[in-house]
Amino acid sequence: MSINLLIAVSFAYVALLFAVAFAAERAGNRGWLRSPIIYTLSLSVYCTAWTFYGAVGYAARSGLEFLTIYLGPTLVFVGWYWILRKLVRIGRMQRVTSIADLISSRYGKSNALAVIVTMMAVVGTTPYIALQLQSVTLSFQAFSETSSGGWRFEDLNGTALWIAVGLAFFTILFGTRNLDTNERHHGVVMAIALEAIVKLLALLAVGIFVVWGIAGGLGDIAARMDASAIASQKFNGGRWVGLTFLAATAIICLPRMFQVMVVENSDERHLKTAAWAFPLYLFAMSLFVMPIAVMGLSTLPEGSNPDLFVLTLPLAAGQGGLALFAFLGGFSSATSMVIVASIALSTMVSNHIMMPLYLAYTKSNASMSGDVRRAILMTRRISIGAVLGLGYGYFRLSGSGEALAAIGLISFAGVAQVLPALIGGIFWRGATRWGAVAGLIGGFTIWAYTLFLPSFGEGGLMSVMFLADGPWGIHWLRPRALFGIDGLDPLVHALIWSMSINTFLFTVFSLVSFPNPMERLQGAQMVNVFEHSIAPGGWIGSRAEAEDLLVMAQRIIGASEALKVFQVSAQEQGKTGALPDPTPQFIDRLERVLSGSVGAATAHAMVSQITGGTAVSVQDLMAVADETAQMKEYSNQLEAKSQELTIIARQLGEANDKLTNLSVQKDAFLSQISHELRTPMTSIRSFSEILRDTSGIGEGEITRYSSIIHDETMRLTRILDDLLDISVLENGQVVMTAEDITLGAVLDKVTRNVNLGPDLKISRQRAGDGIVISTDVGRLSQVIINLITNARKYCIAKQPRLKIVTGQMGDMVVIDFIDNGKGIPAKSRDIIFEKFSRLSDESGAGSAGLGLAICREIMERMGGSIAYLPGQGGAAFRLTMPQKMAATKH
Amino acid sequence: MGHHVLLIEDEPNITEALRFLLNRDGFTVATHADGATALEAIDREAPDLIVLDVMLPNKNGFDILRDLRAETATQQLPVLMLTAKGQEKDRALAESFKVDKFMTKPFSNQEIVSTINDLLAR
Amino acid sequence: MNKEDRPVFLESDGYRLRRIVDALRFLPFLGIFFVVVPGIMLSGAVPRSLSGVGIYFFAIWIVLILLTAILTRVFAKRGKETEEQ
Repeated sequence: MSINLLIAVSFAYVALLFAVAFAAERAGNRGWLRSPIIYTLSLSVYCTAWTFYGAVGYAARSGLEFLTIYLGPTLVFVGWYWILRKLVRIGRMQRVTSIADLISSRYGKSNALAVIVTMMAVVGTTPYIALQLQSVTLSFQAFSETSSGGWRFEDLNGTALWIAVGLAFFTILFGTRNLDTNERHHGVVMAIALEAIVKLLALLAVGIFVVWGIAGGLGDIAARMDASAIASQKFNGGRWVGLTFLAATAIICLPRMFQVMVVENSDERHLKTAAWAFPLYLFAMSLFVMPIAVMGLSTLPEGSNPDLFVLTLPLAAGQGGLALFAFLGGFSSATSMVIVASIALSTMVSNHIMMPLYLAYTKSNASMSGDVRRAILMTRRISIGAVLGLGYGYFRLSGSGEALAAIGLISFAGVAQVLPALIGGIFWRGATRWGAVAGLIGGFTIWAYTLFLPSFGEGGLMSVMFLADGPWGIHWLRPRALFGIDGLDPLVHALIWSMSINTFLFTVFSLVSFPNPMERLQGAQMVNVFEHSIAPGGWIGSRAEAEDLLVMAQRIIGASEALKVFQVSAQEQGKTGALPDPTPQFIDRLERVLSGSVGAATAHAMVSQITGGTAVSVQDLMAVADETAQMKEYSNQLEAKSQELTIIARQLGEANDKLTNLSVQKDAFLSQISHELRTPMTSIRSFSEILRDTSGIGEGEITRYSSIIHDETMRLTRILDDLLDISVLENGQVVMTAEDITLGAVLDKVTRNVNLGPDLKISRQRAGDGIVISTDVGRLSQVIINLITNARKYCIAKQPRLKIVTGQMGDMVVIDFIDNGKGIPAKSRDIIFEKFSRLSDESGAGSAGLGLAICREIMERMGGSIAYLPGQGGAAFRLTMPQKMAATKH
Repeated sequence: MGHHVLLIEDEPNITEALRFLLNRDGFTVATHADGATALEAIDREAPDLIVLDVMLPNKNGFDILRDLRAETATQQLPVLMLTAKGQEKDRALAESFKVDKFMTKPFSNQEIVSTINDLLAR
Repeated sequence: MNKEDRPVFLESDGYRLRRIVDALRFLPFLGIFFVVVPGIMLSGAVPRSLSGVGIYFFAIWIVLILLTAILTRVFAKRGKETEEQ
């Protein structure tokens, strides 16, 4: 068996993987590539080189205990209806990209939490990657020891380095070819499915050869088993239960398992197949572990490494081809684990650590512009390199195989710390961010203190004394006997303490802290995910997707514009029709185009609703609400502006009306004055001409005509007086002098002196007569005289009566003048206070129609008012004035 | 002579002055003070000429004139309009209703009597 | 689910489906019982027949797989997944 041949076969195998991955990427969304079988096979990244080679070693050392590593996951898958179903649904609905992303989005998109989970994942996974590198190098070594010449593998480190570099290359090539919105990698998944078949067939082949080729069938194996040293071992129930629990936890919490199980899941229904098919795969993987271990122990020389029995048994039997197949199986196990783990870790590191830093530095907005896209791909590649570099560094540092052998379970226990935050998060709405942080940090600290750090061996990272007596000699803080609990298996001890303290802190901190609104929304969304989401429909063909997208885009940006975008993209994809494949690039472009119209978040939500079948997440909704709010505010501003304009226009219109009115009023006023002055002048002129020109006019006539001339002259004078009066009042040039007087006194004085005419009788109601007011008595009397005169002139009742009522209303003093005439018709009540508004049907001689206008002016000067009082039987006017006259304005 | 003149005017002093002047020249004179019932008064009195004031209670002189001109019976009836407002647009309005003469108050006695005579002589 | 509101006899399909879901939910506990309990019972002892114990676990295992396969397939066949919690 030439080592060169081994290397050649390895290269050929890797080339095959490349081809498969490449073909799968090219094929895109073909149905069979997304079958439940592929999904189930991809889950086999659980079976790493540690299980491929190590399970046999484990069985050789500890008997049936290795079964727990497979039984735990089996129980989880058998109970898929409880946890996995929910995880996968949440993963789809929330577009979860990693386990750190799930935890962070459950607890209100807390990036700090994501960073904690990421760090824990890196710390927990790095030794595991180192383990894979070691197993591959060891398998090379096993070959080289028995190889027939050629060069020998002295330099293990060099081998490991080359393997790490090669894996990094493969992972970068297929893990970061493009940015899928859902973080799915069809090519990688296909390659891993192929590797899953290879490792299963390899192990089965070795097993069948061992049972029926070396041993004499199953009965022989059973007999050898019961006779072997393993059979005399005590069964450790604690470890049995603890490890089963640990493995069950790991299948949920391991970053790489989460990646293939949740993130890469393209159809929820695949889980229904995987629920039994994956346990079946595990069953097949472990079926021959025990026989191989037993046969290795009984046939191979004392001191052979049981971890390599899978290889060394065929080699010892001279079955070079079978050994090569087994080597490829182990190689597949190691590479698939490393590839998926580094993709999962790099997603976390880049999304939660590097990108936030990059964005903080560049201060650019987090849209998927070309720059950010490139930056994300670059951080992914760097992260992959870094993760593998860390694994290699750990491999170099730890060196000894012994430390690595136990590291698988130690890693499991580390990532298991995520379990309370994860399960609590999806089943308990009361779980909060602080609970998650406290639980994670507490559990992880205990894990590191009791298991991880001591695993480097006595005198490694912890001194012998530290391990034996505790820090500073504090006995109850001994890492392997915390709180004085002694005699437990170290792993079970660490598991019990870390998980219980983790759960305790998680629960208590959740109970006492208060979640923010985002947390509560996300909590409700995840815990009740089946109420918030719809069951997935069948697999949607790409054509239908593209058509749906076109329909939606037409609604948003218009038919012709949408068609243009789609046609250009279709042409770029080399397709003849108008419908392009919904590739990530195309969807990205479409989102950008749409976001011009509806905002980025809305566009993303709409597009992903169609492409991924994903429900809109709370964050999406919040972003949409933000955008809507912005648009609403903008439109509100517009509305306010247009309202302002309307108001201004109305004000302008009013001002214009006022000016027009003023002009009309001025004309009307002038013509009224003209009328009022010309009318008496006509009589005067006419009669004076009569007197002058008429000869032989009678004595009586002379007297009569002279007195008419006299009356009309008086009328003219009065009109001129009124005009002067009102102009003085209107211009505010009047000076009012206040003096204290009772209401009754004013009224008494006026009614004594006024000319009541022959008929008018005045009656008084004196309720408010005693009120002392401070007012201009002369002006007030003028108003009262005017009102009494009006009553005398216009009250046409047979026995005209005027009732004058005094009183108080609030702060104001009121005097009502109510006559028993027929009152003023409603339509005229508004105009009676205007100048020259004498109501024509009752035109009395000698009035210019200025009386009430003057009254109004006077009352307003005094801080009061005059108003027509309806519903009093006759004409009624009410004077209202303050007890103390308002200061006169000049 | 015996021409019958109807004065439609609400100012009693002006009515009295005109009545005196017209009586002195041998006219018979009737007076009416309300705009609303002016048309009936014209029907009743069947005057040879009307002296019509513009500012009348209830119905102004323009409206009365317009109604007069709309009736065949009174289409040609001579109308002398008197106004105290003295605005040009009022004159234009009156002329559009085919007023025979439009005079502004205050008037000269001689002028108004001779105008009435002229109108009746036409 | 308010069962009183529903006609009893017309709902046999939905009823059957819910019982299948119940069985699916019960399955992991069955598994835990048969995997964990013997582990605890055997604790500290040297099993009389290692191969016998091994065969027991493999038998349990394959039974669990078969039950899951059967129940899940029946569940998947019985119309769409009902989202009852």
